[in-house]
Amino acid sequence: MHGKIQILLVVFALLFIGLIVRLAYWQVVMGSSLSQKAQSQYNSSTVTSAPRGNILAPDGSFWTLRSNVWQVTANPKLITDQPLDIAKKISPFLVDDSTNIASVSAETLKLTNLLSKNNVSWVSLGQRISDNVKKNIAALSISGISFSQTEGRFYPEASSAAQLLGFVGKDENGQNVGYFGLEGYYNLTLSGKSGFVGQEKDAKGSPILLGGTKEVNAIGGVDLTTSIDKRIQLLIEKNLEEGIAKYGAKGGNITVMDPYTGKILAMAGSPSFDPSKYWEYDNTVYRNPTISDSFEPGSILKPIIMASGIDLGVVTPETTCDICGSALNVDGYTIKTWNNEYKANSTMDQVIIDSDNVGMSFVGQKIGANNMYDYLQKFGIGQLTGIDLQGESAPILRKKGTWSNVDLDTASFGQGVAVTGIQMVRAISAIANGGYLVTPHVVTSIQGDGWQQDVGNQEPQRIISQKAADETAQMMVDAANLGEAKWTKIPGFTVAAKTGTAQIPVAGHYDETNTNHSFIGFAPISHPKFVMLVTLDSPISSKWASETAAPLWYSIARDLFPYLGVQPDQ
Amino acid sequence: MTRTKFNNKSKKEFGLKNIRVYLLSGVCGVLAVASIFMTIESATSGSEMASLQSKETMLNAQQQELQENLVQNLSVNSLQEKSSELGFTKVTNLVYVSEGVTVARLP
Repeated sequence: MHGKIQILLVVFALLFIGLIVRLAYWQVVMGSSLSQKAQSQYNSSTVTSAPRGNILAPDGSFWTLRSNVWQVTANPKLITDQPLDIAKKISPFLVDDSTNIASVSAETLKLTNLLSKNNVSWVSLGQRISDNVKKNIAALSISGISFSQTEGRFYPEASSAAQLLGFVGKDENGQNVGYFGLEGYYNLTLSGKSGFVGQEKDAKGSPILLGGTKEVNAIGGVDLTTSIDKRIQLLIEKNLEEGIAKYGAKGGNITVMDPYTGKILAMAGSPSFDPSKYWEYDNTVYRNPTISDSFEPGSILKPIIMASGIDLGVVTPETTCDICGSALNVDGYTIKTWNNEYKANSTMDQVIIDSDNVGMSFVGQKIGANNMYDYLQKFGIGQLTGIDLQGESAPILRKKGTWSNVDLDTASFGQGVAVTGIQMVRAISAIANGGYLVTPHVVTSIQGDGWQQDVGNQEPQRIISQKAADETAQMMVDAANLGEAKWTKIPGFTVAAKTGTAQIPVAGHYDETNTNHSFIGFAPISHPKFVMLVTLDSPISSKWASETAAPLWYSIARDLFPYLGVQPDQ
Repeated sequence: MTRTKFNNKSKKEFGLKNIRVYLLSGVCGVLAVASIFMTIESATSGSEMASLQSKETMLNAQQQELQENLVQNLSVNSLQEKSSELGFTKVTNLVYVSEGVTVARLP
């Protein structure tokens, strides 16, 4: 009996030792990793995204508004219906046009393939779907289908001002990033800063308040108020599309700016894109042609050269051109007028009215190469304008001191010099506003919760005298009234304007068939409320800008005058 | 007489001790109950908080949806469509009248 008790004691002792060893194993050896596993079950850490700022029009209405969009996902292991049946139910909601049988069928096939992947637990069926679409799919109550909310962009004016606004895409980490236009330029300002919430949660996912919470609040992106007027923007976009169709152009762009402040009132380019479906477009249309594309300005540069000559004191509006009686030979090249007609002893005013290339060569020779380089620089040609849009380029000027005689002469009538549209608008604004170079800008103020800050008010720099600006402006008035585009002017209104028909340089020579047509002008002459540049790329209906870009300019001006309060002065 | 005095003193001390023990036990009991109550309350608040957070998310989503609808309906594109439907047309011939010229007057 005693021996049995002894054996039992030994057995119990061994079991006890085994238990101790096992407990030590879990506590000491595995303790750390088990603790981590336990923590991962009840600790939750979430990155809270910062809401992206909105972009507003000057009247407070929205150009872009942050919105909620959804990603619809599926777990193929949890679906109970046949993949094809589910795909047939969902696909009509995930295509643009549910009546288009071909696109619905293609979507059904795509979804069926995704849902048939039994070896994965997560597939994305659709991204950036709206609240309504999400509700419709959710109402089908399909098991294995779920939704996750993400931030999107809503564009109330659809594709309007797309190249100005840019779009919000994803970076390599899947985070929202602004590209092009305002979204790209102000990406950091609009993005804000993400936050963090770390807390313990119970089995149901409810927070355990006793466990403590670590929280860093997300800082929302700020809103941008722009100077882009919706009515003017829609007006120029409508007219640009009509003009391109009417004159058979490949594309074009229009810019309207306040010459005193540099505020961009509207800017449109064509072809363009829909920022809510940017991925469906070729990436060449994302660029804003007004700030990114360079072209030889042709005759629209003549007022800049003339203003430089007047400011330098080498010519006046009454100065006569003593070489204008015939074509001009320079370094083996012959400079002709556009219509091959020559007027001996033309005044400078007449040179601008007739858009006389020989007369402008005369001015160029009076100014001299180095002075012309300096004045082009003063007018902002060859350098970035500083506009607050992503993607601005600045074609460089030929180096100072390397200009030949023919370079000087051709530059004086806008050939051999490349500019962007925004550079031209800025330069002509200096003539419109009395001689000051302004910095073009789109955003006028930024605001967050309870604060607002004005931006973009850079002090304009005087670059030419008031007299030079006024006299050149008057020459442009005469060009509008008496030049080739006089047939299209609006009676009663005094407008200062200049046409430009420029050859397109292609691989070292000029294209024989295509030309760029431009028309730039401002009104009213006493205190201009806008400077507008219209450019058409290779129109086929006419060889001359006076028959394409000019009538398009006036058709827009006809609507702008009453809207901006410009009244007839004649 | 002396024994009686001693008994009375001892009884008094014993009664005082009892009161202290009861008081201490009572306080401990209250603290224990409060602690349990607080724990239960905190646990319940967690789920209440989760519910409130969920409601907040839902309300934010609804607000966003309403704002989108409002903005969409007030967009210039929508207003242009509505104005056309309502029969508004663009002014085609704008007449400017010189200052000082009588265009209409009472008879």
